[in-house]
Amino acid sequence: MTTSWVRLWAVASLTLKEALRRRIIFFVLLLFAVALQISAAFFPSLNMIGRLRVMESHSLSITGLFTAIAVLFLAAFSLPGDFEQKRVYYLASKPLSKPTLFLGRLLGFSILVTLFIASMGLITVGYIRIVKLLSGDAFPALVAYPRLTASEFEAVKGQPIPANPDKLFALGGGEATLIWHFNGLRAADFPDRISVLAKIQIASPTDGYRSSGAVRFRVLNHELKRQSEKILPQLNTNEEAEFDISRDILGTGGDLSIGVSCLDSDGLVAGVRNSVVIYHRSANFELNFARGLTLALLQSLLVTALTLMASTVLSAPISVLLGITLYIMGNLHGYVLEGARDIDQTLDQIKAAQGTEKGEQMHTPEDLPPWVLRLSTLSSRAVLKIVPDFKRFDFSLWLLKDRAVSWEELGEAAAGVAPHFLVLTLLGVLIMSFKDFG
Amino acid sequence: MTAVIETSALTKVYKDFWGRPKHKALDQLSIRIDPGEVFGLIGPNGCGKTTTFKLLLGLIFPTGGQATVLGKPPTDVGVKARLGFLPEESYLYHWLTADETLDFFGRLFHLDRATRKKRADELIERFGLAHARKRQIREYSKGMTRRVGFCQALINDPDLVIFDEPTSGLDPISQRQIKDLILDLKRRGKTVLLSSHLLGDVQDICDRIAILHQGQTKKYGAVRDILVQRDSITMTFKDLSEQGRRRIEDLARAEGARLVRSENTLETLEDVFLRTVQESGDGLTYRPPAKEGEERK
Repeated sequence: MTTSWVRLWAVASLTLKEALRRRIIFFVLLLFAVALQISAAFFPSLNMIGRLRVMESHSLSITGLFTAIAVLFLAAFSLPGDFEQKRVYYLASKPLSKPTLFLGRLLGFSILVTLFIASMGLITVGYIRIVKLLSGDAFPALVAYPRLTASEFEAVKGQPIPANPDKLFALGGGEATLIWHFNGLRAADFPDRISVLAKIQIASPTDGYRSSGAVRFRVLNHELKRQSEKILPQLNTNEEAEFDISRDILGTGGDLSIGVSCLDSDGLVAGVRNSVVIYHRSANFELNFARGLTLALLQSLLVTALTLMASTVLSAPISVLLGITLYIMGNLHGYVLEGARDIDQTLDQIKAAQGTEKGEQMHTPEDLPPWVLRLSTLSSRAVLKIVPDFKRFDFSLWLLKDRAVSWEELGEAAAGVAPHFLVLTLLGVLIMSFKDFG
Repeated sequence: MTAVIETSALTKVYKDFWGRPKHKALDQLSIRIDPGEVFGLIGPNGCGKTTTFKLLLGLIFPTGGQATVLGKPPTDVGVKARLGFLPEESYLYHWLTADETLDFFGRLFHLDRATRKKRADELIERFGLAHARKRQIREYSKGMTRRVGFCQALINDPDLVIFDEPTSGLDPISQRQIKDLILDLKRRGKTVLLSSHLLGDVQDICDRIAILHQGQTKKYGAVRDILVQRDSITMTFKDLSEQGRRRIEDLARAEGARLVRSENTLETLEDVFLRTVQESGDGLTYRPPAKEGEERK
């Protein structure tokens, strides 16, 4: 296989030039600007923070939708267009290997998607800034608080979960506590009120269906002997609990520890090192916006690679359908996994209760035969293993809560996408290498 | 002497979705084309001409046999650096201009910017596209698009040029220009492989030909060897009187020959057409190619 950067770039720039000449980008960006401006229709019924949120959510929804449409159609029709319109005869008779043609197209579309998302981001930030300027001081500050994870995590009178040693649990009703230590903090890095976010799992050793309970959060500065406490009487498992504490508890700086315990004697709390985080002073809003849109870009690159790879063997409409399927499956990842877990739990309970009176009364959901459900969960899990969870690319989870996307989170998302992207690229290269252009 | 193209029992069978043989497009083609030759592949539609080209360009893989192009397998990317190809139909990138199209293809040959520009200028001038070089190809006529196709085939100054139906879609003047182009390439030592339904053109410009039918080679050799009728002679005289003609005919009969035809020589329609157009003076002119050492005016 011979690939040269000059040829690769020649094909990539051809891809870009074609897209620009078709004026698709300009048309979609114009539509984007118009659609974004429509968010102003909601302004009269909203307060200032509401206005900001509606602009942000509106922008992210349209960015996602427009990027998806543009990427799916441009990527799906490019190679089949070359094949069907026999332009590939010109290309393949030149010193351009078949894989280079695929890689050049992929590079071209990747740059195109980047330009596309960056342009939408610029329009959004510009629009928000203009609205802020026109609204005066009443408009909320544009902020993005960076997340800080604990330096250490331990369970006092608790223990690790055997199946997952990184996850610790503490039984309720006693002194067992999960503790997150945040060391070496500087007061200057925090706003007046330090925001704490916790996402704790709540369960019961005796009731498999238990998923909520009363939870106490205690924030301690051992050195200064200062503490603050927050009790949530009905917290659901994996629900984001957010509260804030005064910066005074930190003094000029030092260590903080946050202890979490379950107040119900038949309950338990469980978590991992990043289940409890605190937030720094705001980072640059625009920079954070760029980082957040990079998440959206990663998702789009994955869909581009799949659609383009599929288009090497399938027709353009089928490739579009495959791309849409990836979008849907990626976005439903969490729900499907949760559903599969519930079904497994139900089936296990039915199996355990078989032969008893209780077992006779138990039914599977929709009264389906257990083997159908077992097969369904197995196949769902198999598919989900190859499809990444798109929730990690959803910038709205950060933006709408004024949180900054950390480089670590960005890196994790990129590392999650990279293997899929590489496999799809390799598949495309292999298919092209052995493809007849007849 | 190393052959520019050599095939040995080259066979291509197209298969259906399940891998079952569907159609044998080419059956045991064995040909050799030497440097500086103009070689013609002729035959009815579906006889395997285009399939042969695709195999020689590495666009498709053979089912059997083998082929070498410039001494290497057709899939070798290095081979393609010395090759130019014009497909039967010119589907170029409609959104690009002629300049951009030639620049793009030039980049695939790793030509530097100055060389790309120089070659593009020469070809655009030669094919009469200077007035439209900045217009997108979607605005071109079929003939103009075809001429851009020729330009891209020659952008790398190839040693081997493959033309699939080169005169298809061109007016008689352009057809004549293409014939002259091919002869010019031959004069410069280039090898040309072409297919055409215009048998007169093939006869005029090709050194050797192969006639294909249903994928099989029916005739193969020098044009003259294939066409010559050993039991028949044509003589052309200038300024022969009627009496002289009768005496020659009588002499021939006395020698036991049977007279098949005796008539005035006809000009070719192409010559008459080109002269007529040139005489009309409407700007559509045909310029014969410059001879070696002579500057094109």
